[in-house]
Amino acid sequence: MAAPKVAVVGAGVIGLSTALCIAETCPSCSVMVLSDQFSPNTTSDVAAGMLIPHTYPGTPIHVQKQWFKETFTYLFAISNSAEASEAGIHLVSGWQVFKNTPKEELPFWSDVVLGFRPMSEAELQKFPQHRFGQAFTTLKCDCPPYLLWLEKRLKATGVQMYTRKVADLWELHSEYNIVVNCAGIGAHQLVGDEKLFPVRGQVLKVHAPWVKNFIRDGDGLTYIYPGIHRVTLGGTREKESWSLSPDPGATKGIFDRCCSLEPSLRGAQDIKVKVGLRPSRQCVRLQREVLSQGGVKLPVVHNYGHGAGGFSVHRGTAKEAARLVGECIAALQGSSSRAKL
Amino acid sequence: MRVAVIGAGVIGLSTALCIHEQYHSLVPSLEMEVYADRYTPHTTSDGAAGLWQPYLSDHGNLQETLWNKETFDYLLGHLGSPAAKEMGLFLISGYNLFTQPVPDPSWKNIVLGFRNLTPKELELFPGYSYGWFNTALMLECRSYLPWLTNRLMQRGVKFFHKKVESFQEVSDNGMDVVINCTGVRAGELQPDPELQPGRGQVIKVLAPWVKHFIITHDIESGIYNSPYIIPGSEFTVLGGIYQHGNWNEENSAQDHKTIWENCCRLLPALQKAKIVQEWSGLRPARPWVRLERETVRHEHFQAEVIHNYGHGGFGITIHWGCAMAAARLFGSILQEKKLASPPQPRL
Repeated sequence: MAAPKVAVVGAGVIGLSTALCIAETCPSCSVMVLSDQFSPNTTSDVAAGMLIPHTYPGTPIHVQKQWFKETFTYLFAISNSAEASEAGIHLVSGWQVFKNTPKEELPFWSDVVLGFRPMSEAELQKFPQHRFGQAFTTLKCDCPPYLLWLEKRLKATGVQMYTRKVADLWELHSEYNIVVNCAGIGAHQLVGDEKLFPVRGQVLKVHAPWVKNFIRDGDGLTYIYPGIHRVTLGGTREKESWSLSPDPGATKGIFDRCCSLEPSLRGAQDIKVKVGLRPSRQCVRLQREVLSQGGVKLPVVHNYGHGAGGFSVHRGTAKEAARLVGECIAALQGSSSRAKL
Repeated sequence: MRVAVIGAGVIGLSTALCIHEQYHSLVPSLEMEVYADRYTPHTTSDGAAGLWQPYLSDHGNLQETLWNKETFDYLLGHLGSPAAKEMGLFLISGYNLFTQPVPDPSWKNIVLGFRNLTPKELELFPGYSYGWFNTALMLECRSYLPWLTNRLMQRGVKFFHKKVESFQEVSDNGMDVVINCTGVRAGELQPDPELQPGRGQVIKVLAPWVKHFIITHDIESGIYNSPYIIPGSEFTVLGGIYQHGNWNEENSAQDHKTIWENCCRLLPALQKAKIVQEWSGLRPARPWVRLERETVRHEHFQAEVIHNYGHGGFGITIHWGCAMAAARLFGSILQEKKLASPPQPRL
């Protein structure tokens, strides 16, 4: 197969990073990104982009750790380079605080982030309602900058991007040899995955440039993540809610909870409300499938269902997806050479 | 009781406020006036990035370490208050970098979460093999000085834009006590060979992705002569110049080059940062802070002077501890003048 044509459906952090990995590992491939939404209108654009993993109940921990480590290492190198500001990648230090001591005092990722240690008594005094905490330094991917930087890298390697709503993966079978499904929450309709469900997240993006540290409540519901220009205040975790409309009650709740963690936020300006639907699943669907109709086959690689942890594992899952694309190509070449006999 | 405060930098204004807060209710006749030829944003304090961090070694000066601690604890206590934003006060974490292991500083237990850097963290800083991480405070004077000024004006303190030429001039005006917070130019009021300018230059840039302070140290070059990067609420300050004895307040192209090249080497992404301002200032350097009373006599006049100057590059770091100490000296003056005796029970 001379130049396999690969379509990547989806242009959030998963789609773009997967397309980039495929272009990097398969220079002869002709890769195209198809999506009905591009930055700043993807789910990724709503997320804060913090590298703090979400635990998938259905994936072995060592696999999740590998994905996180690969992603962290990749972004660490960018944050240390001249491209850091353009790519929107920066280090940020802070605290994860718990009202009740967690069962697991050492999360699986504690040795991947930098300087992980329990908070001192003096540090905890700043959080009178919390009894335990962890201090560490991690990375943040600001969007849109990171997605725009990925788009720029893609264009430089010859990957084209097209605004197109794909209603059914099969519609691509005549134009492409392989389809990579990075449709995120869109996979619910696109491939009818009933195991994929939205977890609605509302956030506030505010102007509060004096906030230099992140603060996260270990319950995952309240967090303060300082980005390049804005601080993301969160949040909500509403299972099975498909509503993309901001909820004023949630806005007040988020603001009050964040101000209780960081009182200076009362002075925050220019509050913007955003909503995103985390594409949640027991485990990330990262696997090959072959669609076939009337004797015609279409190899598909799925890479969706990253829920609350997309940024934390994006590079790791993108690399695995690219590896699976390589397997698809090998299988196609194997069957085409068999066809020649 | 008329009090004149000379100098309106962080030392002058905080000392004025500290004294007024403690004594105005005990001394109803207290009238305070501030005299300065430079006010915010033109003081030395305004040029400082505002990071709370003492020098590496306290040279056995435990008094100054205590004043530093008092200041940190005082500011930490204000962090959660509604005034924090207006004061320009916020927490910040960051790195101190060295080319060789060094002993822990006197302030390791004052700041929050002090620890050594891990090998992986040191990968971020090629050329540096040892370092510290801690969380400290920022107090930006372009907000703090106006905040202090407002508090003082609310209390009825008067401000005069005037260069005071002598203690006598102020005493002739009927001042009972003079608080001398004249910083680097204290020698113009009374010669002090120990006081020297420690010239610094900084470049202010827009680099909002930088969330940590990074301070490098070169034991050979001495304090502040090694690059540092300090992110503020609006601008990031790049620095690394300390020239003892240099009175020049003009920006130097050579120093600009030194700062820019060194800081960009430390953080390559800074090359893309937009330069917004360049500034030079004179740190009021002295082997130790001059914080003491003096009765200044000359022919027919006598004035009680409290000196509070010579805070070098750590004025913001130490200011409140010194203000409290100056207030205690003021209290002793009041006692001597029998103006602040404890209330007597009425018979």
